Amino acid sequence: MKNLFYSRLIGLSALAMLFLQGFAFQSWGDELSANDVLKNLQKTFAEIEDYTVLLQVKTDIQQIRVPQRDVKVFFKQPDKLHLQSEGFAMLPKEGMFINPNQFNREDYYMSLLGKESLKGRSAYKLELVPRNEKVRVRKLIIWIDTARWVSLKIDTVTWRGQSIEIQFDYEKFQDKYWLPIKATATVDLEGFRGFSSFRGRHGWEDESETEDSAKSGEIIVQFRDYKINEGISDSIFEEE
Amino acid sequence: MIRLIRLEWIKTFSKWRTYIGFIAIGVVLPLIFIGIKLDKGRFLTSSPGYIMLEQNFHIIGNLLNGFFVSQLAMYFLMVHIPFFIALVAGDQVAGEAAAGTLRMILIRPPSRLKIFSAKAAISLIYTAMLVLCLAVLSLGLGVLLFGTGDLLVRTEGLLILTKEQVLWRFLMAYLLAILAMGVVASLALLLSVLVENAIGPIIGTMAIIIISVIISEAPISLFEGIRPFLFTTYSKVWQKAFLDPLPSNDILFSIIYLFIYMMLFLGVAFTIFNRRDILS
Repeated sequence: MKNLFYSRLIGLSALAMLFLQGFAFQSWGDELSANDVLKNLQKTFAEIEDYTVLLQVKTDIQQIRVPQRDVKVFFKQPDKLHLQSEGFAMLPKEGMFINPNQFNREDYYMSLLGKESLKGRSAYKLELVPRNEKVRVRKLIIWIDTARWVSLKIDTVTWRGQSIEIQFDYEKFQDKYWLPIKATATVDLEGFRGFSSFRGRHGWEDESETEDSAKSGEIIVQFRDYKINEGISDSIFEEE
Repeated sequence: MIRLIRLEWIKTFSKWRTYIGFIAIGVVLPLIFIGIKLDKGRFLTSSPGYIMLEQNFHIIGNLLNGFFVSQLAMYFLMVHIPFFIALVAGDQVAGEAAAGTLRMILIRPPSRLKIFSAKAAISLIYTAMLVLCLAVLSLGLGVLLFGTGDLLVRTEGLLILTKEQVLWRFLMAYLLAILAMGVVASLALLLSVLVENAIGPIIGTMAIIIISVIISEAPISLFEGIRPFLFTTYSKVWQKAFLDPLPSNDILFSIIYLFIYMMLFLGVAFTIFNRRDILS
């Protein structure tokens, strides 16, 4: 009698373990690989064939005084980008107009660093490290929204050690496209000495003025007047 | 008085040396601009600051424009303009003394004050004309060859002035440059009343400027106490017209100093001229 009780208990325990393991396997199966996350990002990105948007760029970086400017952006798949402005403007090269198509296994090591919550949204943290120095950045981390499959935040570090972090706010356009309406780029231009080298040609430079000083700050970009999938002539991109 | 100034004008502009400055600007400026144009502004795009910016940012807009090259021309030529000014202002009295015409002028009815004032006025008018020639030629040719755009100011960090701000900044810079060069003209005139040969004031003015610039700019602590008393410390005030925010107090302070120096040089020059026995 006692033996029958123990054998049933063992049997039930085994069933329970198999049941729980099944759950575990189920949840493991839900987890995506770095490649899957990137593919989802690329899929969302591919939905937009072309767009134009007007950016209002406000720069607030130490020792960098650039007037507020409007920049018109033209984008066309797969990787055509053209920027137009009435005057001088500067926008971060890496991250501001991220094109997920440029990331592939041949050029980057990819690893998923887990999930994080960002401004109340769940995001995959994807790390991309270039396999060679031809790529301008040393490391790139992208926080990708787990539901909308758009990049919420991008952190880049260049080979020279300058870092740029860009956070995006999104809005839904035409009831289907999630596109940025605001980007805040935090810039750290370590080692930037400006245009003092011109000055040095005519006399001695004041050493105190030419010492490296941290030039950090923000570039705030507001996006407006999106025109999505309306078609853009290739000639616009040929100007450059 | 106007008749005297007109007379001095005719005397000054009948000499070839008066045109050397204009010819030099007229030759050097197009050479610099054509050189920059042919080189496609590589000196700018290959500068460490530009390279670093370009590595990290999309740079939109034309930085190599007429305003930028005009500012560059100002930096290049403002170093050499004092020589041309000394060439003319230094000749005003000494040249006449060497030619033996000074005694003849002074025995005529106009007072020594009027004669000196006419000579000083012509020296300052010439100075203003030379700087304005640089302004018109560099801005005109610069805009013609390179177009317009925002101005990249040569300074620490990165400073961009909008196209709308640029013209009045240039106007202020050229006016300040006229004042600074006016001090040079006054110094040359002062040296001109001291000697009786035309070459002395020119060399003397340049020697004083070179020594003063060295003391003003050399990072040697020994000179720190002397710097505030040298006019060359304030003569680069025109560069401040391009700064943002505009250092109004610094500019005003420099204007006052330069004006005092000009009056001092002219005052001393007149005192010597007035008391001097003209033997030649």
